[in-house]
Amino acid sequence: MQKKLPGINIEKPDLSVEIAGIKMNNPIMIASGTFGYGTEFSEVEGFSHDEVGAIVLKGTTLNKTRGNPIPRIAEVDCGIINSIGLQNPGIDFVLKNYIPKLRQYKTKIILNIAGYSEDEYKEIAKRINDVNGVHGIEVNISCPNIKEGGMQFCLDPKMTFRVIEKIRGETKLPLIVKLSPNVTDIVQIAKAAIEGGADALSLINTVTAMAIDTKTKRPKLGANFGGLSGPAIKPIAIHKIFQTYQYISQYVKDKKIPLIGIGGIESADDIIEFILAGANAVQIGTSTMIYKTTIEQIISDIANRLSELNEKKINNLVGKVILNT
Amino acid sequence: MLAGATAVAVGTANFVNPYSTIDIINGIESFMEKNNIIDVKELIGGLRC
Ligand SMILES: Cc1cc2nc3c(=O)[nH]c(=O)nc-3n(C[C@H](O)[C@H](O)[C@H](O)COP(=O)(O)O)c2cc1C
Repeated sequence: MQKKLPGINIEKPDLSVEIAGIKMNNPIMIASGTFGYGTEFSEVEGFSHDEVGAIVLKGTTLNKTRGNPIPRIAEVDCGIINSIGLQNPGIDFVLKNYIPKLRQYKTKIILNIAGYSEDEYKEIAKRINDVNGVHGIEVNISCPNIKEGGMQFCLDPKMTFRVIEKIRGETKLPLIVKLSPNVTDIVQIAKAAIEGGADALSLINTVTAMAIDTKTKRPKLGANFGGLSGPAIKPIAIHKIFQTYQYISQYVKDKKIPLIGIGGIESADDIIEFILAGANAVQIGTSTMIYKTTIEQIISDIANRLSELNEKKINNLVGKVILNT
Repeated sequence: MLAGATAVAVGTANFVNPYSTIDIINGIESFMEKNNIIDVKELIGGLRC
C-alpha cells in the first residue's frame, strides 16, 4: 500500500484562472508601471516571464509623454510614493517596438492605457485593434480629463461611464477597468464601469500621498505629491475588493465580472487573503522591486497553502471569507 | 506641521509605547534646537514646493 507522506502534494492543485476570456496559468499578474515593457526583466537572473499568469505593461498614452521631474519615488514606512507622470514613448512606438518582442512568451500581455480626454482613450483603443500579441486592455482612469475641467475620470461615475463606453465601442478585446481608492464609494465607480462595458475590474491604484523632508522643508517628490503603494495599502485594497465583490455578487446578474486585487502583495498568504475577499486574480507591483521572494516561490507556496486548506481549485476560495455575525 | 497643521494628536503610538507623546515632545524640542527654530509656529505651513 502506498503511504501518503505528510506535506507532499499527491495531486497538484489547479491554479489556473480565467479573467474575461484571458486564460492564465495562475492568478498572479505583474502590475502596471513596475515592470516597464517587459524587456528589462528578461535580464533579471532567475526571472521567467512565463511563470506569471499575465504581465500588465506600463501605462501608455496616445502621444509620447516626458513624465514628471525627479525624484519620482520616495520611500516611506511600509511602502513607496511615486509620481512618474506616465512617462512613455506613445502607443504607436509601443505597438511597433515592444509588443513584437513579447510575443515569444507564453504569458498573457495586457496593455495599460491612459489618456487626458475621452477621445484620446478611444483613439488608443482603436490603434490596438488587429495587433497580434495584446490579450487585453487595462484602462487606467486615474487621469485628469483635461477637456472637462481637469477632474480625474475615476472620481466621477458619469465620467467613468462615458469614457469606458467610448473605449468599449472601439474594441472587442477583454476590457479591464482599473479603479482608484481615492473615492468615497468605490462601488459607484465600479457600477459605472460595468455599465460602460467593462469585462473585469482591477483595484486598487495608488493612494494619494505626500512626504516632506524636514531638513529642506521640501516635498520628497519632484512633483510634490504622488501615489502610495506597497504593504501600507494592502488592508485598504482588501476592503475595496470586499465591497466591490459584495456589490457584484448581489446586484450584477447578467454578466460575470471578475475582480483583480492589487495593493501591497508580497506573499502567497497575501494572495489568498485577496481571493477570500473576492478577487479572482491579483497583481504584484512594488514588491517586485524589493526581491523579498520570487514569483516562483510564491506560486509554490500557494499550491502548498491550497493543499493545507484541502482545496483543489484556487477558484473555490473566491469570496469565501466567513464574516462575523 | 510643515504641511499645514497647527497641532497634532497621537493615537495608535500610545498602544505601542505609553511614553510616545513625551518622546515626541522631546523630539520636537531637539529638532528645533538643531535647526535654530525659536518658535514652533514657524513650522506651520513652512513647506517649500
Ligand atoms: C513606480 C510605479 C509606477 C506605476 N505606474 C502605473 C501606471 O503607469 N499605470 C497604472 O495603472 N498603475 C501604475 N502604478 C500602480 C500599480 O500598478 C499598482 O496599482 C499599485 O502600485 C499598487 O500595487 P503594489 O502595492 O503591489 O505596488 C504604478 C506603481 C508604481 C509603484
